[in-house]
Amino acid sequence: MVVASALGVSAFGHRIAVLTDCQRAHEYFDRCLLPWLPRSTPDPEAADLVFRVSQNREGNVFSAQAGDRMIASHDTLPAIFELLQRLTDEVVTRGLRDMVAIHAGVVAWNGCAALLPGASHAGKTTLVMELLKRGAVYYSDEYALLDAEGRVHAYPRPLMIRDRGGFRQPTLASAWNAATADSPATVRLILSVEWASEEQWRVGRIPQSEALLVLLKNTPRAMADSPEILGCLRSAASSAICYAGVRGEAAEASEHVMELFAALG
Amino acid sequence: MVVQQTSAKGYVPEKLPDGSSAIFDRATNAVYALNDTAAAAFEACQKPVTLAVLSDMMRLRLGRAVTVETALEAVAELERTGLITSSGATQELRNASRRQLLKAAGVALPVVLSLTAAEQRVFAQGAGSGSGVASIASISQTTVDCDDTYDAVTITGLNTHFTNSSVVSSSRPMLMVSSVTATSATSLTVNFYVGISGEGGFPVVPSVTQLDIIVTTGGEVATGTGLVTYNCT
Repeated sequence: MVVASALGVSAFGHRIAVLTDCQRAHEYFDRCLLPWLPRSTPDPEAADLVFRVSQNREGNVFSAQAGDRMIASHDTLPAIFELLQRLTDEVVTRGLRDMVAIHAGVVAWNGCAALLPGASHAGKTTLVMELLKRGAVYYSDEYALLDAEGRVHAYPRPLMIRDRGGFRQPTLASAWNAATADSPATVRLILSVEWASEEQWRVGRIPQSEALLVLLKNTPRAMADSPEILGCLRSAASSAICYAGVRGEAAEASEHVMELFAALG
Repeated sequence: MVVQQTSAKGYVPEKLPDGSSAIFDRATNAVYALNDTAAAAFEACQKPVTLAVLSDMMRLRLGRAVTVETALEAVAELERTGLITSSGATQELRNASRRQLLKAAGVALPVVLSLTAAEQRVFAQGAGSGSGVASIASISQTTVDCDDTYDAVTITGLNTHFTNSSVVSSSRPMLMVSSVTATSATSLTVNFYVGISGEGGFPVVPSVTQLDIIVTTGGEVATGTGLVTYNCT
């Protein structure tokens, strides 16, 4: 592959390089991959993760490699990007030092952060999007990064929003005129809420200790290998009012979440 | 009845601001979550105590009335999870209707939840999906020839969440996929070209080899091992 464009970015101590022979791909990844972080000239030899994205001769199919391994070919850049984003997430979240990642949507209101822990495909992104429309500050649609003091740090990757054709498109929080966080926030709400069709908001308080178990069920780290993660999770749960239950549509649920924010005072 | 913590296990209790407690078992790496009622009982059992003393100590810690029935229920809940042991009056502990009666009376019931190290590891490995590991069950085209194009090939997944943005690839990168359509969360229709070993940017592979099929959908990676035979003889 003849490298025409190169993009370098460093996230939480991990260096990522994207090399491509296609200017359009370069501009796309520059806009979408870890967009809040400064860009640099990459050194592929020193990078922890090197992506190579090339276009076929006809210009209608993109292929992506991670290191020497071919990982994907597809005719759309969003599909290629989603895979690059996932691999980047894995490298960043599994290699965190002094912090632990939780699968959770995260937004803040008046400096108070809410964690919405849940598995992939549980509707986190949709609920986060609705909260952004109501003026919440964006931290992440997928990962809460918790430090030893229990504060959450922003990981504001683009939200993957399904378009009318069913294709997931990376979308920046600014699409809803939402602000993106630039500093950590204290966790004041933990909402373990599962989506269920034709359900309404049925949510109740749970003890902080139970919320701690919820966080443990949503981290990619095994506590037997990394018992120190308990400290970060305990600190986050200690500062929060915690709820669990079920919700219906995200728009309705977001109104209830905003009421919980308001009740914090 | 006398009750006491099974302290030999090396519990590390952590009090949380709302009165609940998390207990980390250093011997097994299990974690227990106790609500405030259960936590008050557990704390009172550091030394052997009778049920009457336990009730009094729970009342002092909680700042509200605690009946002997509530204390008995706490003992049953804590003993169920192995956090305490009791001697005598086992018949009283097995009174199954007590919990329902207390609940009906609006009493804050003691609750103990647990998460073993093995359970937590499963959650961690599955990224908390909790819905079974995604995999590829089958593909309608099980043999492919190099330098050939295949249309409307169906890939069937198990526990998958396919979308039109799903990315299809193979363990040895011999497939050039040109079209992906999700007909359901577990069914994809794809068109692809099969490259020639060592030509046109494709790697050198044995003339007959097995390919794994991999479908990535967001954070979900589904693999089917050796589903397709690549033929370039």
